[in-house]
Amino acid sequence: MGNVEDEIELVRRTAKGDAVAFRTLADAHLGKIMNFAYRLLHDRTEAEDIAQETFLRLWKDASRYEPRARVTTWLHRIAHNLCVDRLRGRREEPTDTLDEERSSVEPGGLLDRKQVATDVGQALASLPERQRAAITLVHYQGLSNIEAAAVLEVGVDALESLLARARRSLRDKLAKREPEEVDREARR
Amino acid sequence: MKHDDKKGREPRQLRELVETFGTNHERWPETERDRAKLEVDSNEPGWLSDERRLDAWLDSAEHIAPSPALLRRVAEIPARNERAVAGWFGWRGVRNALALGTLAAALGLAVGVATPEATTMDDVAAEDEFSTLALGGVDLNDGVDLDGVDVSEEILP
Repeated sequence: MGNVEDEIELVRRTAKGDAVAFRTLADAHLGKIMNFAYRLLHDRTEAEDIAQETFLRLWKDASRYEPRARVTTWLHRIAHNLCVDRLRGRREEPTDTLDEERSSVEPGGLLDRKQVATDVGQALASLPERQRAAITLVHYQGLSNIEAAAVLEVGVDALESLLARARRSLRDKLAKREPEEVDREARR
Repeated sequence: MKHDDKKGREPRQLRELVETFGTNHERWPETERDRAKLEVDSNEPGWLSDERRLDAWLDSAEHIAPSPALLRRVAEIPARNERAVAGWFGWRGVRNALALGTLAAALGLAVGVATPEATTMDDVAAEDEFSTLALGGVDLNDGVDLDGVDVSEEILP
C-alpha cells in the first residue's frame, strides 16, 4: 500500500461506509500503528487497545480526513493523541530499569537477542514522551521529519531537537551498557 | 536542520545530521540526502561507528504482531459500529442544503421587504367578494348571516 491516491480513495470509500475499503486500510496499517503504540506505552495490552481505538476512529471519522497528509500520518496522529491520553492517566512514568532487570544470558543466543530487545524497549520507555515519540516515528515508523513533526504538532526544528536529544540519551545508555557486557564476558 | 549548500557541508553539520537521524540515509531529510550520503561515503568519519552501533542496537528492538483477537475485533468494527451520517461527501450535501435554505430564506425576506402588506381597502373588498362567492354571505362560525337571520338550518343538512 504505497500509492497515496489509492489510500485517499480507500478513505473516501470508508467514509461512505465501505467495509472492504476499511479492512484494506486496516490490513495495511494495523501492525505499524500497534507497534507505534507499543513503543510509546511499553505495554502490549494497552497497545492493542490503542490500535483498535485508532481504527474505530478511522471507521467513524473517515469523513474528517483531509488528503493534505498521508493516511499513515493521520493514523499516527490519532494513535499518538490516544497514547498521550493513556500516559497522562498513568500514576507513574516508567522508570529506567535497564540495569536492574538484566539477567545472565548466553551471548549471541536467542535469549541474548531477546534480552537486547528488552533492553532497547526499556531504554526507549525511559525517554521523555515526546523524545520517545520522535525517535519512534522516524526510526521505526519510517516517517519523514516533516510528517513526524505533523504528528507531534511541532515545527521541524523542534522535531529534530527532540530526535537529537533522544539519540544522545540512548547513546549514553548504550555506552553504559557495553562495558558491563564486556566485564560479564571476562568473568566467564 | 539548515545548511548553506553553497559553502558545502561543514563536518560538524554532517555529524549533527547523523546524530539526529542516524546512519541510514533513507531517514535523512530528502533535501540533504544525496550530498550528505556522498560526503559520508567518501570520508567515513570515525564517529560514524558509534552511530552505527546505536542504530544496530535500536534495530534489535522487539517487533510485535497483532494478536488474532485484535485482528478479529478490528475486522468487526464496521459491523458493530454505526457510521456518522454525514460523511465527507455527505457533509458536503448537508452543507449545500443549508446554503440553499439560507439563500431561499434571504430571498423570501427580500421579497417580503420589497412588497407592501395587503391592507388597502381594495384588498379588503376583494377578500369580502371572495367570501361572498364561496359561502353566499354566510358566516358559518356562528350560524348567523350578515343580516342577523339564522340560516343554519338552510345550509346544514
